Amino acid sequence: MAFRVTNALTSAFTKQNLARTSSRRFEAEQRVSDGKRISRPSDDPGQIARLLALKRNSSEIEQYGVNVAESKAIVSSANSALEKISDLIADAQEQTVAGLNGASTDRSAVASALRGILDQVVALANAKLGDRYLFGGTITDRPPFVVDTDPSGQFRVTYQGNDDVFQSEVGPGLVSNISVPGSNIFAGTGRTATSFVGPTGAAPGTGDDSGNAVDRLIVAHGITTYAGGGLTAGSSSATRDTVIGAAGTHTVALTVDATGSTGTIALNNGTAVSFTNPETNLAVTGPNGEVIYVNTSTVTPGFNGQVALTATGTLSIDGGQSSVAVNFSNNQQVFDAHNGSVLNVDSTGITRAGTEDVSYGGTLDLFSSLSALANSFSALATASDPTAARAAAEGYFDELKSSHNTLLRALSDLGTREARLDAAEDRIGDLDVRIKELTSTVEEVDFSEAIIDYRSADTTYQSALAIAARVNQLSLLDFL
Amino acid sequence: MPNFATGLSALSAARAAIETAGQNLANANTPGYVRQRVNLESLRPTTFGGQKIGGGVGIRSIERITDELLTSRVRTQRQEVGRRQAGLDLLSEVETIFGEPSSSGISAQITNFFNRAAALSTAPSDPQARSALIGAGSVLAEQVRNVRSGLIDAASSVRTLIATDVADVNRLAETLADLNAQVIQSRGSDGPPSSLLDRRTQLLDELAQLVDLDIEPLSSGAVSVTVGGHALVANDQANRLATSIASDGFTEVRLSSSGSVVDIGGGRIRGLLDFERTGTGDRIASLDRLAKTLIGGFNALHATGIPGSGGFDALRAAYPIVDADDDGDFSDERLEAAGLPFSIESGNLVVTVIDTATLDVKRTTVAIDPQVDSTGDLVAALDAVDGIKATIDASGRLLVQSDAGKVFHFANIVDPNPDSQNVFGGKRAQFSSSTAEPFALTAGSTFTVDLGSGVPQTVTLNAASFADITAATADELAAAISSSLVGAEAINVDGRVVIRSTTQGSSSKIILADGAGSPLAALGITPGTDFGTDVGVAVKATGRYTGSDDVTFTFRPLSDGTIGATQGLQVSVIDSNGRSVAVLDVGQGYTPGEMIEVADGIKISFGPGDVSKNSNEFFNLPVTAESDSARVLEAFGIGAFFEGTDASTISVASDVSDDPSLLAVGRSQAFDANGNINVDNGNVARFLALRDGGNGDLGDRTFSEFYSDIIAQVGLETSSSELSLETQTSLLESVESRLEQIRGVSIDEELADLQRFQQAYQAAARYITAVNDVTQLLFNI
Repeated sequence: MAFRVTNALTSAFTKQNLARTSSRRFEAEQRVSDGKRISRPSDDPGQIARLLALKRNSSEIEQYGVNVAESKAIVSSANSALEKISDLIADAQEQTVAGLNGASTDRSAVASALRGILDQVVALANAKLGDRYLFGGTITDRPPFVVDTDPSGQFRVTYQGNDDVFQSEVGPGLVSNISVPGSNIFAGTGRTATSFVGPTGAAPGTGDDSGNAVDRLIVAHGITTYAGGGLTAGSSSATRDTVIGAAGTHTVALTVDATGSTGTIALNNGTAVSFTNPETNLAVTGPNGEVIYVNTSTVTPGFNGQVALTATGTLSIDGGQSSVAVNFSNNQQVFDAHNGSVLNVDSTGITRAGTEDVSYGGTLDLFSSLSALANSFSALATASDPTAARAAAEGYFDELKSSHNTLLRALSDLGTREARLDAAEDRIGDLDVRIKELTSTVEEVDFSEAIIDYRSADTTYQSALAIAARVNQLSLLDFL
Repeated sequence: MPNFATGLSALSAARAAIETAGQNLANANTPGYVRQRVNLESLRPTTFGGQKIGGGVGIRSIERITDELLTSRVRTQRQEVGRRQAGLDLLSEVETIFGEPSSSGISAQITNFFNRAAALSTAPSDPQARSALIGAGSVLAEQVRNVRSGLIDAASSVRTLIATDVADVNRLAETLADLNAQVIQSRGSDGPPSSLLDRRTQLLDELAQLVDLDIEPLSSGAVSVTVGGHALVANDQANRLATSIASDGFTEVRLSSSGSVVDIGGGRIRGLLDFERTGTGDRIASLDRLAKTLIGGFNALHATGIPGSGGFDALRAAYPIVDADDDGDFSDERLEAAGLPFSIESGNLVVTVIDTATLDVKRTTVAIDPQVDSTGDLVAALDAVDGIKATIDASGRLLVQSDAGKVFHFANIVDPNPDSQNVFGGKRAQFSSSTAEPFALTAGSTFTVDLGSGVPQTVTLNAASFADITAATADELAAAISSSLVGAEAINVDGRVVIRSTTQGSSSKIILADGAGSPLAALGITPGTDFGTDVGVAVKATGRYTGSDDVTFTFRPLSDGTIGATQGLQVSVIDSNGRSVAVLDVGQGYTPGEMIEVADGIKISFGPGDVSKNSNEFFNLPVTAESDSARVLEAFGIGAFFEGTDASTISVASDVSDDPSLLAVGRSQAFDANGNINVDNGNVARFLALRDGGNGDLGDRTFSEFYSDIIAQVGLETSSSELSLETQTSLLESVESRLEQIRGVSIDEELADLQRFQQAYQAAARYITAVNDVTQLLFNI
């Protein structure tokens, strides 16, 4: 049987064709107009998971980009603050060299210039970015460095921060340290020999010290006793004598007249002092400024000779809070009651009371070095004998140089970190571009293809319309 | 003789054929119309002059031209299309509910949530960054809830659709029953009118779109319609269908009369029933699984974090416990049966309580076994921790509160003050034997111990206390002495016996005097007086334990000496497995207070002072790999970030959203000399590790991967359903067109017929005229 073309069939076909071609044309048009190949999961179920993953990656990378930018801001602010500090230290070093070589009148100016630099350095060490302090480790809400004096009156800088770091997420599985704990940046280069500057004759002992930066060793006089000639300690002896030593360390030459009412007395072959009894508190000064106070009231008439002098003393590094008696041994341990640190002292050479400026080599932080240097310049400006002060200044200058080295190391570390963040930023930029490309490959239409598709769908639709118009016209009726 | 009858029969046959063509033309566009054809036959001949001449034309029948097989195939195909169309419509709706890919869908919200967490890593203390994380969490939770309720709505709208379709079925069935009645009635005359049959075909076609039918023509001319083995239409009777909700929660179709379940195997209704059963259920279950894993996983991290303030004042559980045995007592259920949404394992919970004024930190480990411990046991154990109170509130939620001036948290920090007993350095009054075991003692020998009160306590050494009193061990002797003393004790230190005061400090004093049998002399102890000292060694620990086992480190000096001063002074560290972990140099060269690395991320420092091996000074530092290995916090929802248990209830815990400072960003904390508690941002890294790591509960997929898989499945189902609908539709079109070829009206054909029968009519008329002329001729004869 031949194919019967019925009218309902023709119109059904026409309708189906028109519906099919027009919906294909509509889809093609939609793709061209919104540029999206996948606008719902069923458009390409095989790729939808990939598309979602790409979108997620893209958004994550954007966040990493923000984190990198913020981390960079912190690291580069820290970097520039440290660079400024480094410049200031270089300046301080120049001033020091000039000061050491210049005239004594310049030295107080150097001292005040150094103090000015110290203030600036402290201000920079407390630098902030926004409202976060840069050099306090994870403590960002208060200044990391506080300058004051310790209980023994020494310059002290207290670090209020910690050694912890905040880790910023700057990439998939990639963290960057965005904290710069100030505790390490401004420190010395590591413990070296301890040095003493002072008149007492105390010297570094043989043990390892545990104090940091600088200390003041107070060598105090205890009791002076005399053996022979009827000489006794004067009323001010306990508080004002400056001699310390076992019998034989110091010599006292006493000459008394036959009645015992007058005589002369000399300390360590110094200028003889005449006395007329009763004399209960006579000051006798030795050639090096050492002093004893004696009571000559009971001297033996007609005595002429040496009187043995024994003077005890004590050592303290905590401003007198705790002390140990001088035992004239090569290693005495002196404890700091405040922080438990230990100073080993060779006390064999102690001959007089006084203070020793103790410097724990290599442990001076930048601030302490600057402060100590400034102090030694003040001392240099006023001292009659500048040798000791000059030695101290040179010592602190070395310390300053060594803590400057630490700072430079920290700077180079920060530079590396900044470079790494730059690299991370580049990488994120690359990744971003690549992921966007991939996303567009998966999600977006190829425009030329889409337009060609649209054209062909449109043409098909138009031909379907034309055919429909023609088919409906045809009827036997026209020919009867 | 020519016959008028023949002409008349030809006229009426031609008229019938013309009318049929007219009817066909008129119904050319009537859906379901079956074209008709007039079947003619020549009438029995009359005998005329011995010859038989035909008796004209008669109408044998008017035939409906169709193909029953194709008709039933069309119906089957309609069921297929109806079923798939219903499924596709709904699946497309599901796709729309998920709304992916977009910047506001769940996928984007998960990413955004964790991005906000990542942003916290650069600004952990920024309140805006905290609020942003909480806000992103709320938006994510809301989006999850919206999608889930959208899916639930879709499922329930299906029920309405099913009910509407079932009503349609009932209407069609009744009409069919009516038609059956009419067909049977008209049967008696000359067969049922074609229009009735056409109408019936059309109704059956409509019905076939809704359900699968078995159609059986009966001899009465009626058709019986069976659905799922149950008669829907029998003769002039229609059975009504009704919907109800079955015990499994899904819709089922029943016969109204008998109530028996009708298993519908095809058509739109089947499609809807299928969708109701599988279209959203799996998606909802997956979404619930995703939500629950996110809640549990994130909460477990958040609960073991530390807020910026250093600790919590109060934490209330998100999930109430249940009185499972219904005895009115909420706390007697074992933890595994307490009705909590997450399971508790056998393990530990570490509670840290901090005194905000003194920064004294106490770390307590609570051991939990969910098969043994009841909720009451847990509450009691927590309540017993110094500085916090634990109760079950009126709503059945566990409430942990700190005492005034204290805060607490559950983070895995290292006890910063491991020597809280101040054992290191603070010396007790004591005497140590100068010889080691065995000791040759005499039974009944005595000595006295005076703690400074002037009233000596007498220690008598009885043979019963020793296996062999002439070779007494240090352990036996220490036990014997300790048991007879109050305020003093004896211990074994490397085989020597140390008799010491139980207190330390300058107020501790011991005066020993030998008695009968001189046991002290046998031990090598010179009787006399000893005082304790006040100076303790401040011990501080810090760091984050990186080991994988829970262990206790024991610190012991290896000799007697002064921290930072004595040459060669060392402290040994031994873990609870007896393994030597480290030997720390704390003698000369060590700056008191300087942190030294111990092992596994732990650092420790010793303050100035004297330590002693001979006094058996030691302290323990317990460290744990996890602070909540029992997963109690997750199960109770204590310190939770998210509340809820599934996709319909997930939300950000109101405590956290009300007070963003409770966000636990930190993982470890430090206590500085200025009385501050410093918290790090270590929890951020854990949050991101959670994002990037596979979850066991999600088949080792990340949250995003798991969700992407849901979306891919939705897309796949929709697109495969689209494809199969397309296939079935084109199959339907093809059988329909084949049927239409047979039963459809071709106007051209009908016009040709019209032409033909018009001519036949004219011819018949002509014949009658001819007969008439012949007759006339006869009359005129």
